[in-house]
Amino acid sequence: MTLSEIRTDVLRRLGEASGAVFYTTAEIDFWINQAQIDFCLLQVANFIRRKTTTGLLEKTTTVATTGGDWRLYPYTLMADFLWPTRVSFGGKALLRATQKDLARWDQDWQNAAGDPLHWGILGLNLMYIYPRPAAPANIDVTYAYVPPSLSADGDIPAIGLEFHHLLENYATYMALMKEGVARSERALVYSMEYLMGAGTQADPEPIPRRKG
Amino acid sequence: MATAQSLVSQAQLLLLDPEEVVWSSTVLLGYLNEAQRDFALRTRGYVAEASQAVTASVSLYTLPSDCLGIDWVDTANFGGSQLQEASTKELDWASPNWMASTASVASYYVRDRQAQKQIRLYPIPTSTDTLGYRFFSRPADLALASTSSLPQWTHQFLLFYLVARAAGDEGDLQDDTKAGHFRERYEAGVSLVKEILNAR
Repeated sequence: MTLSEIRTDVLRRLGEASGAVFYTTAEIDFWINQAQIDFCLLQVANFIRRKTTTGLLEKTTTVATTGGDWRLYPYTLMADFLWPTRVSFGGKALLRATQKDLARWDQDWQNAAGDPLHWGILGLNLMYIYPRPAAPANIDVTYAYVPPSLSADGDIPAIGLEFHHLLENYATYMALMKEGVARSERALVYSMEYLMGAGTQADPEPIPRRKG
Repeated sequence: MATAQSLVSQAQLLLLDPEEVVWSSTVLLGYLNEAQRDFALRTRGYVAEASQAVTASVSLYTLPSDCLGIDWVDTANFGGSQLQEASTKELDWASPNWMASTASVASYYVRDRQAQKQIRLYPIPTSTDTLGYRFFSRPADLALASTSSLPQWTHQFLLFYLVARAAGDEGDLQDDTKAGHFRERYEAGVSLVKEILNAR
C-alpha cells in the first residue's frame, strides 16, 4: 500500500472520506510514520521476549573500528539504528556479555586486545566489543532499523504488506485521541486492534518441531 | 530527526490548540524538556563519557554537571582499569585512617556525602593522573530549533509526556481523559525501553 492509500483509509475512518478538513494530511502522515517506528520497536520487544522475528526489519552494516577501540557509537555509525540483534567478526557471531561480566572475567578488559569474542551495549548509545581488535578491523553489526519516513504519496512502508493495515489503525487511534474524552472509546478500539496485530499477530505460536 | 518545534507543533494539534491560544510554544517546550529529563533519569539510557585531571594529593573531584549516575570510573595510572566503588562504612572498618592514606595511584572511589556531586579517591594519589568517567547523562535542554540527542525512535514518548502534562493543566481545554491516556502511553514507553535495556 502507498502512503496515499493508507492516508485515504485513515481519513475515511475519521469521517473525512472526501478529504482532510478537521485533520490535516500532515498530521495524519506524521502518525503513519510514527506507527512505522512504534511497530518496529514492538518487534524488537517481541524479539527480546520470545526471539520471534516475524515483523522485524533488520539490516547488516560493516563498521570499521578505529585504532583498535573497544567502543562503537551506533547512532554515529548507523543513522537508522534501533537495536542490535547480532554482531560478528570475521563471519563468527560474538556472544553478548554485560560490562559486569567482562569486569568479572578481566578487570582490565578495556585494554585487552585480540580477536573479538563478545559484544554488549550500555544504555541506548554505546556498544562495546571484547577483546578490542589489536588493529583497525571490521565488525558486522546486524540491527533492527528505523524505516525511512514516508513523504511522497507513492512511498511504500518498509514493513511487510501484511502489517500495513496496522499503520492505519495506529494513525486513526492517535488522530481520534486529539478529541480526548469525546472519542476516546473509539480511539481505544483502534489502539487495541493495533496492539493485537503488532504483538499477537506478529508473534504467532511457535510451530512444534517434528521429532526424528 | 524531529526538531523540538515539530514535536511542539504536533502536541498543539493533539491539544486542539494549533493557534497557541492556551499553550504557548515556550510553555510546551518547557514540558518537552521535562520529558527529556524524566526519560533519561528513569531509563538511564543516555551514556556519556568525560575525563578530568587529577592533582597530586587532592582527594575530592566534582562529577560532570550532567551526571545522573556513575557507571564506570578509571584512571590512566591505574592502567585504564575500573576503580572499585567502596562505601565510607567499608573503608572505616578496613582502614580507620583511610581519608589520610596516600599512594601513587588511587584504586577505589567513594561517593562523597558532603556533596552528592563529588567522589573521593582512595588512597589519595600522590601523582598527577587522569580520571575517566562513563556515566548516565541528562541531555541538554532543547531550544525550539534544536533536536533531542535521544534516539529518534524515543521522540514519540517525549511527545506523549508533553501532551499528558499540558492536557492536565487547569483551564478551558483541560481533558483528564486525554492526559491520563497519554500518561499511560508514556509510562508504557519507559517500561518498554527499560525492558530492552535490561534484556540479556
